[in-house]
Amino acid sequence: MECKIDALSDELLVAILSYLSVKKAATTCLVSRRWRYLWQYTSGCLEIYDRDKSTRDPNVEHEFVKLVNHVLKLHQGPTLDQFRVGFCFGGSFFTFDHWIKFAIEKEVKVFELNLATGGGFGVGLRYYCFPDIEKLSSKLKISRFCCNLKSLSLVNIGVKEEVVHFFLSNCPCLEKVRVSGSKCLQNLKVTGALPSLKFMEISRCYNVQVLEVDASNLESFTYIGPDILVPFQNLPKLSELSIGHQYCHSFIFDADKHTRYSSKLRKLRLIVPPQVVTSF
Amino acid sequence: MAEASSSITEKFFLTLKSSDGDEFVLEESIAIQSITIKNMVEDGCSSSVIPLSKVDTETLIKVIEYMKMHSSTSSNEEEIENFDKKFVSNSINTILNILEAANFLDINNLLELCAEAVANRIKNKTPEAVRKIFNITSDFTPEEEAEIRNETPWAFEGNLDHSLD
Repeated sequence: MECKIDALSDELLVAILSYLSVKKAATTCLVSRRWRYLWQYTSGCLEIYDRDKSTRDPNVEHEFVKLVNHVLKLHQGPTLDQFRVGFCFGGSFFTFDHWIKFAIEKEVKVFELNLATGGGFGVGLRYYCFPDIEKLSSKLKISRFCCNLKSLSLVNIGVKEEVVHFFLSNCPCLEKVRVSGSKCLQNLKVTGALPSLKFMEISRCYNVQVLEVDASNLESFTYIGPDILVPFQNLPKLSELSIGHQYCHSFIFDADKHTRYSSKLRKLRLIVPPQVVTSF
Repeated sequence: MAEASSSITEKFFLTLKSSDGDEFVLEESIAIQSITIKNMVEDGCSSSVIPLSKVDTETLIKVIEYMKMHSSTSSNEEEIENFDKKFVSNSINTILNILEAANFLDINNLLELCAEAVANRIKNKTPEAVRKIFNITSDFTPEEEAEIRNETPWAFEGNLDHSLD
């Protein structure tokens, strides 16, 4: 039997392997010499999560960060579709600026940086803050990244409102935004022309004081946080809402304030904190 | 121009010639899903036979079937979906031939369909199984294999599938 695949160009082999996740493509490095480095040029999804999600052992953390750094260095292709990375950050002296830089330079469409897998929020001594994105790469690269970005998820990272505002106003294709566990988010405005924005989650950001949401195509919103003034303004397409923590209290006991948006919902999820349950 | 506007329903036909020398007559509107053919038509090469020296008869028949099904007028979405499903169940070598032809003819949808189909056949497979599927002979020594495994342990975590289907 002939070996048909040998006749294909490297470009076509890379195109095939790009339909696999980068990790799955990487196993083909053992197929033959020709295949050894092909996976490094693929443009699929690079997903690296810590295997042992519950551990807070600093050595495990160190090994994991080293592994991610190693894999990022190996990837040679100009672009990647998705970059999703996560582990339970125990507050060691690592910085993740270069992971964000990698996402920018590979022009990923989906970017997730989760420093609290397994629910380990704020367990560490140190807290990583999202850097000034404009200092991470050239203007051209940042603008290319922003043009492609569809989904952004930042968990257990200090994300200031300026960061969210930057992404909202510079990424025309952004459909999904999730910010969870940010201690420095206080006054967030999700307003302006946001033609693509459909899903948004602001959760466990316990220092939120003001939130304004006015997005004509928003379909789903999750807010888990302190009791604030009703943030929802013009949301004709909002059909799914999840609310939790103190804001739940207001929704249950001051229902009148919420009718403007609650009447159109198809799906409502209340994540009731224990202290609200006891006040029934 | 006057002629063209008075004959909206008139169909133009092209003749495609495979590497085996077989000729196929196809409506221009269908054939120009191939950007390569479209460019040839626009450059005025369509009056004579279009030689496709890199595509054999068996593969060209498949490509034409695909283009006919995907030409906008004749088929609905469900039909197309079923056709594609059946199409990718061809043997791996047939798919690879079509993939190469789609690349040469510049038919992006077909290229994507085939690339994904090939990727699905090797998803979760061990390197040994991938070799067997493609009939590749390894040129690594056992020592080299062990070394590469050690270099990228991350890639070999979890269970991989030894089967060939």
